[in-house]
Amino acid sequence: MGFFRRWFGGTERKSAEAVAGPAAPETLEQQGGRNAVSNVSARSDGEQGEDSRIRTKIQDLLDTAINPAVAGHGGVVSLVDVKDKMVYLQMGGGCQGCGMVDVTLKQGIETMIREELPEVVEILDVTDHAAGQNPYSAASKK
Amino acid sequence: MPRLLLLLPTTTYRTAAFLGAAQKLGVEVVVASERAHVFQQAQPGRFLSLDFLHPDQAVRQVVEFVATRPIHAVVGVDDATTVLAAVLLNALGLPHNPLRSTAAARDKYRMRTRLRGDGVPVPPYALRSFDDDPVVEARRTAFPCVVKPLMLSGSLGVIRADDEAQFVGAVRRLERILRRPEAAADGEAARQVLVEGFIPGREVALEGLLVKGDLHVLALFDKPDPLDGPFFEETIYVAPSRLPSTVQAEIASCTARAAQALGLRDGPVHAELRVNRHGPSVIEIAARSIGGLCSRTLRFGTGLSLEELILRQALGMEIRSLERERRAVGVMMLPIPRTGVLKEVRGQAEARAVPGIDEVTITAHPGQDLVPLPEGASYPGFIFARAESPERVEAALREAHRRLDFVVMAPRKPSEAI
Repeated sequence: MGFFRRWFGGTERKSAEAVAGPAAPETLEQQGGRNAVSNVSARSDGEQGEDSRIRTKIQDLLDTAINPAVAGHGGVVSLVDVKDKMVYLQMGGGCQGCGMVDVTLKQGIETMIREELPEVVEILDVTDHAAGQNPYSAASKK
Repeated sequence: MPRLLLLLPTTTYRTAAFLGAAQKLGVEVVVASERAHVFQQAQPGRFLSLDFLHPDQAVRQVVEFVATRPIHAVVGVDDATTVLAAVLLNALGLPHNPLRSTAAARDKYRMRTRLRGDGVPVPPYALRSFDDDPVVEARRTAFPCVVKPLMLSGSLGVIRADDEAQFVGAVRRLERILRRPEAAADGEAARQVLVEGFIPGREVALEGLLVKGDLHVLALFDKPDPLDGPFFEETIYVAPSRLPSTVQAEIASCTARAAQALGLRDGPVHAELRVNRHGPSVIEIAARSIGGLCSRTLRFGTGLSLEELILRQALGMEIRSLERERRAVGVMMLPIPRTGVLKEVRGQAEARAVPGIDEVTITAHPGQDLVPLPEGASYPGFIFARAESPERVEAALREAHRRLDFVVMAPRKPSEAI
């Protein structure tokens, strides 16, 4: 799996470049997170306030609904950042590298976030799924 | 908004591609898997857990579901779910391939029988049971032959035998594979073995879409690595084919006749054929699209994915073009380097840097048991390439693969098995 997943079109590589800029000698997820944070000062107070509100709501969703559910499969979802109404999530435990992670994200997490926060523009998974050591389910040929 | 029921086994490689396609088409998806998803209770309209092995029960559940949430199409993504999709579509009164056609395409023996009955060239074959004495069966078998399970895919359990001793060993080995729970679920089919004559020659894979009984060839892939056994590990697929156009036409014609013989009329088909001086022979034809992550190589018209084509057809949406992009493309299903536990895969950046390489995707995770064929059931990863010619694509794939270094630790002891 690539480092970045974009849920609204575009390839993984393109989306990583769009968000994180050209590859540097650090992981894309580190770079994406740092860019998201370092660019905050260039945005208006209103934009920052909106992102802050979204961040609070999403953290609440993670704590009360999403993580209690994925914990059943040994998974955990963390909020990395919210920038310009784009949400950056990281999957861990049983979710990291899981064959059903796309279902979990698109059908489950994204649906829940959009119901609560329709103004969210994009939801990006910044997980290095290839490094997952204990995915809940793995793909096979049969 | 149209609503699609997508039958997604939890172990399929095809999840991301189909969900991505559905999202691009603006389709609401209901995911049905064989196990309950963690969000099923929170999102009951988006998830179903269906018993893929018991269609009657699955039909009852889906009929109950559509009473409040209408379904406009049902799509299966692999061999087993394609059969169930036809059953569900039939129950919902939606267009579908004949049930016996999808069932025959799922079972290698029934498939060959239907094809041979209609004069489609297939290898000579016979059905044997594990209850038969393989030593006795070996004496009435012509060599070289290939023993195969009736229902597994991806060359799992497929073994060549050149003499009686090898035949006995191959049958016993296949029997052990078919005792595994995931294979034993196939019931009586898991107690039987297909023995077929080995067909020498080159192997190709045809990806097609049936539209009202007419086969549209989406891509014809060459498999440049020889597949002569004793195991049949798929590695490189490259399109367009470098075979002469007359041979390609014969392959397309042979596949179309095979689909017709099975009675398949609509939807994707994936066929594997052997080609030699006698012409093409159909090894397999499945009523599904290409497996693994291989479909990432294919783009059509203005950039549509294979899955978008499939969903558009299933939902009755317009398809403007079935023409594949002009560039040569290829995929390498990474071979399992050896038995053991994967520690890491080095050289990925170097592999990605090879000109023509689009993507290197490692799907095996650190700590995963790597099991080669014929027992192994997963690929450690895939390499994808695009270039101006099939030769360059093949060269790029081989060079990228050469730069990868799989660090594999010793296999776990039985007591350490997870």
